[in-house]
Amino acid sequence: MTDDIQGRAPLRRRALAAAILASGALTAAQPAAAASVTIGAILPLSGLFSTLGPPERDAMQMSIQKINEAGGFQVAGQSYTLTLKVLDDESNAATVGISDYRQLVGVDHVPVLIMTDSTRAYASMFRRFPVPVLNILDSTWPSILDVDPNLFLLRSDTPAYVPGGVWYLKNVLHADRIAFIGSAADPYSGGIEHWVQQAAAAYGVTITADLNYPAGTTNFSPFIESAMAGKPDAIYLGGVTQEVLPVAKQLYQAGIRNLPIVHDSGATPTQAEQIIGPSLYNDVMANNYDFAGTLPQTSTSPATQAFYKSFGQSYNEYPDDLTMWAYDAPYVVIAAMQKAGTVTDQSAIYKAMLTMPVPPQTISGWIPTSSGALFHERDARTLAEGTRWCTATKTIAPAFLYFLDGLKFTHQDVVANGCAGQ
Amino acid sequence: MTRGGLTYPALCVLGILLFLALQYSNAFYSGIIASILIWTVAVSGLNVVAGLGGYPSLMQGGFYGIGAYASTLALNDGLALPLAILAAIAVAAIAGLLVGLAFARTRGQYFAIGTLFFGVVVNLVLTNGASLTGGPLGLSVPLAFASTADLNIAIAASAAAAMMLVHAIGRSRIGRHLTALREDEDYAEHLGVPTGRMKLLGFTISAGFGGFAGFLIAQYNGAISPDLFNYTVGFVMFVALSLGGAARLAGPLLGSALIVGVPDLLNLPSGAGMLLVGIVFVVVIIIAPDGLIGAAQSLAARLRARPAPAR
Amino acid sequence: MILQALSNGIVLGALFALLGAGLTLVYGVMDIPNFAQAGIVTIGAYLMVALAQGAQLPFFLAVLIAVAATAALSVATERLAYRFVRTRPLAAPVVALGLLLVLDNSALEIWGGDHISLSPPYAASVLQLGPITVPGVGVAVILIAAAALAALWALLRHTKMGRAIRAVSQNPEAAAIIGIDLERQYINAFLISGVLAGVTALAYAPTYAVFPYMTDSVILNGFVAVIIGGLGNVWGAAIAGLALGLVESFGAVYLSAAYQTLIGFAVLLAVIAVRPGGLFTGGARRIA
Repeated sequence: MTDDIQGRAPLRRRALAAAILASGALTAAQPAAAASVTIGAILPLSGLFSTLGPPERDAMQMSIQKINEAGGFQVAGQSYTLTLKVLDDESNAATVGISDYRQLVGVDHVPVLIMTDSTRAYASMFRRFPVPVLNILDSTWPSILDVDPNLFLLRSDTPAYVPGGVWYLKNVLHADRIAFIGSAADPYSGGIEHWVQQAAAAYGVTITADLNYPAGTTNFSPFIESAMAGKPDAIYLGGVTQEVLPVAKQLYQAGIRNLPIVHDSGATPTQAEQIIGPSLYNDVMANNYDFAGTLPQTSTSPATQAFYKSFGQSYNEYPDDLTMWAYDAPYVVIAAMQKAGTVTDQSAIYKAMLTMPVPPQTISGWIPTSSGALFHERDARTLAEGTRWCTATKTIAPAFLYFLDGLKFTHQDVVANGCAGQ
Repeated sequence: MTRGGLTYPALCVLGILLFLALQYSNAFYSGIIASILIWTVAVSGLNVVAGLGGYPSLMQGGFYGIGAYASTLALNDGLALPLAILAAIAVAAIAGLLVGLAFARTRGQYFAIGTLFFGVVVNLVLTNGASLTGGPLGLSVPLAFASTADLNIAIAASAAAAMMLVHAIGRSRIGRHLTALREDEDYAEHLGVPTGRMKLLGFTISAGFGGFAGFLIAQYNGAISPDLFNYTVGFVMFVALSLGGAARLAGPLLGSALIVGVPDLLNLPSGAGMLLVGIVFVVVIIIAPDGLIGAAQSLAARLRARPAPAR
Repeated sequence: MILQALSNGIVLGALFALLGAGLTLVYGVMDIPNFAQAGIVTIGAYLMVALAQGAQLPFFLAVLIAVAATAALSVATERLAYRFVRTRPLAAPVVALGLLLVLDNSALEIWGGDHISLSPPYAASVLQLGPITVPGVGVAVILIAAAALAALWALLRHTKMGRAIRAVSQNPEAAAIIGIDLERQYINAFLISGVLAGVTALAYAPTYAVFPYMTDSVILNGFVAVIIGGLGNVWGAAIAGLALGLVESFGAVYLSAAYQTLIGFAVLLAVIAVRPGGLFTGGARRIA
């Protein structure tokens, strides 16, 4: 379960040599050996949310390795390397996750903790063992930021991207009637459901059916049947990848093959192939549209493009939105520590995070506040992106880039021929 | 349950030692100790109906869950700590009473299977009653004690008290009737033992213990979800009792220590931990039906060349 | 809508019937609730994925090998565990659950917890009967269950092994007196039940996904079918399974989806409380 990334020995010597040379004086006050700072992460490496944990861990390891190989980082004149300690919550916050939290915060005393799912379950723990928390992904409605003031979210919250899917259905796919099928087991789905309802009311779309299947459902036929009874033009699915794709597969197997299927799970082609099956997935995904955060492949920034290529090569995984935010998380931690001038004082690090600017080495494309801060009331924001499936190349391509202020678009860019650019 | 006079003082000393262990070991070890002790409360309760009474209940996990949710909902409604504890015990005990009534004529393995399914039903209700129970993601639990030290005192004291209570029950009239029930129910009835009432009483008492343990785990964990109380938990509590030794005073403590402690100390992921528990259990049940303490007692008796003591 | 719910219910019921048949066979012969059957189905499904998609064997060859493996695994559970608790009926359900824990978590440790898919050649086909649509994998469940139950019936009625198993289940002492080797029949019952487990994997796995706890929900429904149909009564289990599938399917559409499984369990609990031997036993246990 534990996954330690240590700075390698040659690095320490290199950092030491560099520090001695840099100091110039022969009588240094103390030897500038690179100590290691360990930050903690609780990730779902297994279980229902296991499509999230491994890519996040890999992306964080990638940037940490890059940072350490370049000599680490400096805080208040001292050199450090960064170490990440990852514990698996097995997608089970109340049982495994909570004991992981106790370990990392209560025993290991990490200065910063990184999390990604089921945040609400930890409410009591945040009060008993407080620590600054960077959450990579957990967008819900109501927001997790209401749970505890020590939480920061590295991506735009649910209301910032879900309405885009409804708008696209109405105005690009010309679907006026949608059926919603969501997972009662998952607050992510519940948040999507709420904002689909809000957006439908605002953009003039009728919701013909609003269904939620209970936890542990493997046979969706009653829900599919109820959804189709109202003769919708499209189907909106709520939940994460491992909830959404099995429903999409059963829709296809039930003969429903020419309705748009819209969701917000951020599924990658690799996951589609594994969950739906190699012989079926290309056909099942043909009518899929997925609305979440921006993908690295659509970015015009060279650094982001470089990340897209090297992540795909190194990890044989499709780099999507969450890999960018995870990759950037260590940079946020380091920048906060540098601003605060400490690697251990949690309170100072927290205050620094509240007002820190967007760190220059980050690739997520975070849009700063009007005063130049990274976090808009503890939420870091990017553009939102809708993608479509390309059957010729069996992969995803951009369809819609946008930014929402409430239910109004301040940026709206429909990409007509995303597949052609591959 | 034997050795009358020394038992209560010994358990008091044990309680104090356990509190010290909880309070002064680091967060990792104290977490494991707390889990073991809370399980000891629940499994000691199970010892009444399953150990003394011989009725294999596989749903102690269900009462554990009922107590956890009842106390948390009470606290969230603003009720004071003593009322929340009362809620945990009472709601669980009433549920136990109802189940006991439903299964009044059910015996042996059908009783076991029936309680298994009841455990599944409890989990289903907790998972799907989202408006009340928070659904699959569960509820966050407010700390009702003034400090974690107070919570640790409560946990240590509860474990010791649970064992003392079960010891007292074992030596009381209820305990003797339950034992008679276990040995031969029809004969006991023939002798005039009010078997129906005793069964019901035993099951209700067990459920109450389970509910109280649920209150403790809710407080300690700070969060509860239906997953903490699925049918596997009920089964594994029975495993803990069988492993340690049913109808033995320290059986629940030993069994819980093995089941909870070993996988956690080895830092095993839940899958490997459950695999280990499953294998150990099947082996032990086949080789040593009276659990480890029972096996140790038989061994000791054989070594002393005396007949094994009647239970 | 009614017709579609009916069609969905038949698919679901066929699956419960298949599970129930395997469970009740063992019950009839040895009075053991074989919860481990669920784990064997799971392992069978994983083996099919590994052979057909990992090793790229022809699909039906992969199925054959997997079914042989589940049969062997089932017999192994008897030889290594159940055999020792035959005389201790209280220990049987808990040994069964222990074995289920071992099997489920072995699958978890070997193959990981991610959901993967089993895609037979008919995964994309659809059967259109007027207003009803039945997915190809659903048709497969019905056909597989029907074929398996027919084969089981033929085996129990018309073969020496079948008659011996029925004799043991009706009256073990009498069967021993007339020279039937009881031990052999216990093994046979687990062998057949293991084959049924593999067949169940073939029917069930393509409908959703393969993951370590894939059978946890359906096995309980299998038990409901067994207990309602009468312990040891294969036809009782099959009919009860079918009825249960229909009830749950209609219940999900017209009542509450969340509590669809609750309906089945409520019936089961009532039966256990009142008539633990099952509704259709009439005294002695019987098979077929």
